[in-house]
Amino acid sequence: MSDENQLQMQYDVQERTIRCIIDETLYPLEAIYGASYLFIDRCFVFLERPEDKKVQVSLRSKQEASEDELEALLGEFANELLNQVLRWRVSEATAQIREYTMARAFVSHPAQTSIDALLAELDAEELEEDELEISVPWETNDV
Amino acid sequence: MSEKVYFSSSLYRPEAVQKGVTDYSELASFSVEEQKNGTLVTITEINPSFSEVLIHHFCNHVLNETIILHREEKGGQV
Repeated sequence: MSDENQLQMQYDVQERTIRCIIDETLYPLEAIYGASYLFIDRCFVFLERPEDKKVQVSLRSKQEASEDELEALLGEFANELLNQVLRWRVSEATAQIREYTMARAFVSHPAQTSIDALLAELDAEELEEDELEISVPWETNDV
Repeated sequence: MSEKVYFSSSLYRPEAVQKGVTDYSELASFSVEEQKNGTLVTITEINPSFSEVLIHHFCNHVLNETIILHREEKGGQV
């Protein structure tokens, strides 16, 4: 096998089904699940464990499919796998900032409560000025 | 005629396999055998109308349920 071939994904095509083995050290299970979930409505997806840290993915077309179509399907799956790895890594990398944002949201809540308390206090003071608590129109005061 | 499907426990949740069996029980007969590293499901008496696709749909369903359970455990939703 040439070096050029070693860079390509190895796969096997058989009766509407294409199979490939994925290295779990490169593509975590979260990414494999994420890509599989998106392909479940397009084809039949089956996962097997041929050896430790390896996952065999079988994609079976729901209708007749040529070898080229199956290769295209696997190519799309591989792209989605990469996309899912990226999403997973971004999610891991930004977990702390998300927690910080959430914490800020909770901290700002008492501040809002204190504004409400101040407004209530102002309303109370306004009412105290009028002993009978009867609102008098300004036109009446001029008379 | 019977078909056997082996679900590795490192990839499929046993609860998801059980849910798949329950959901598909009207279309075939299932026997479930828990093994050391997975669950072996034997499918017999498959409804003739779905004989060609039932196993594949069943496997998709089990995978779907597994992913839902996995994500729920991680604190998210599908």
